[in-house]
Amino acid sequence: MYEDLRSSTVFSPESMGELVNYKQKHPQALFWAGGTYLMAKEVNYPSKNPINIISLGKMDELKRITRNDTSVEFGSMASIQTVTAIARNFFSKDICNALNATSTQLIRRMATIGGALCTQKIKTSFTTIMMTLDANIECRIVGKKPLTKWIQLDNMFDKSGSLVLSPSTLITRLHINADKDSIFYFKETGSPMTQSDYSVVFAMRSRLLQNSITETRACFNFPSIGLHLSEAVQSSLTGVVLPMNPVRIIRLTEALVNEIRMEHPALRPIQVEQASRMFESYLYDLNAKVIARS
Amino acid sequence: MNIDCNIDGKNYSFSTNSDKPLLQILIEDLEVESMMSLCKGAYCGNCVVLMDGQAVLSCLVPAFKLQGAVIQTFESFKKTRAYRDIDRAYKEIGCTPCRQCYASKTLIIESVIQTLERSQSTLSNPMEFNRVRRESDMEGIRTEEEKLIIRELGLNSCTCTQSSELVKIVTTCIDYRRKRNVRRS
Repeated sequence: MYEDLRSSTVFSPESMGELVNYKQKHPQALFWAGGTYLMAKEVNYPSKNPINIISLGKMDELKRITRNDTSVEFGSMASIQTVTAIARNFFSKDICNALNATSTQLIRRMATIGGALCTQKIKTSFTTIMMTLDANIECRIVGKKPLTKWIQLDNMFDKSGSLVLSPSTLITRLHINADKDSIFYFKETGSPMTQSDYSVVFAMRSRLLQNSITETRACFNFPSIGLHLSEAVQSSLTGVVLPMNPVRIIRLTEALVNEIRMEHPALRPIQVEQASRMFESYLYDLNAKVIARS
Repeated sequence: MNIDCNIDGKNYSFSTNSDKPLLQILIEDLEVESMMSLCKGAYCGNCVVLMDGQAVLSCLVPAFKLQGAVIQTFESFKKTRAYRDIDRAYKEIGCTPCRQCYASKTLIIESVIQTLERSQSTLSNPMEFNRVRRESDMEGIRTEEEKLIIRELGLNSCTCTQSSELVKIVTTCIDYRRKRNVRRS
């Protein structure tokens, strides 16, 4: 069965210089971070045409974590479990709970930030949370003219929610600002990895000034189709005084459903329905929080 | 690719394809009986092993990551005292996972127990745990520890055991270990 198989060549650079060299010599080689997505979806052993691999596991500079009072910067090879462990110093309990809900500890220990953000065919829950937290990433284009730039995480994806980074681009760092005050909501139905055609992930963050919403950011993730960052809903929610009238909630939800249907026509009806229910539920949750305060 | 690693206490040096999953190495090359392949990387959670002391899904670990690693499968784990605690808890609660998921669930339970012991959760303090549990029972909600146990064990897709039973197994097992540590000290 395995007689005429060729083994993949694995390169394990220890510095950025070595990595650039390997990538230039083998442009088709695949960057390998934690492997949780690649082993499950992309690498189908045994294969007659194995892909060469650049394993990033020995690159210490991609594992560094720098933090100060207002922000934290993770190297892209830090595991999701590391982010979860450090999160409680920087984020509210709701955000920590959301990070904890991204898969199980066993997977989080293996999965890395870079890998979770760069999966080609599906979008992970971690990406959804980071989009909502307005994270920035440092990208390094590993080509003949190496280039490093910081971009907003939103810009990694096009309007339909597909990844726009080229295969020679490497995410090196993730920068997130501390956030202990905002109200965060996270809901996931189905697993983005195993039920990517049906799953819906929703994360939303709002700041409240007295009883009015001052800033809001909502991100829907339809794993096999794309991400949806709703600008219209965000702007229509800003300045709204809570508790909100149920009629207004219905109108906002309808507007959101129309927007999602327009931008992602390939979505299944069940996904649209779940997205609208999650959004509605968040708005009622906000109402309940404000009523409980008064 | 040449790999040197330690599997179940024995040092191995073998040549294999660099992207061959650990699961297939264990099944095809080492013929470990407790390993089974049901999903080919679709997260069924039935191929758990301990790699450098931490639970991992062996179908997601490629051969090139094994260099220098220490792997413990269920075959050698069942000879440890940690396993006997879990087995005793199964018997006391009167609930044992089915043959298909027994090995994996047991290893995941061990991993959860280690996490809870490390985090010094309320579970390691029985009085505090009982107080929190009484309160949450009254309110009909689960404690953070219970949620963690259910979430972690949810990785194994087999539905032979109920989540409430799994919570009892883990708490009983932690209790055994705590009592033994108290006796020792």
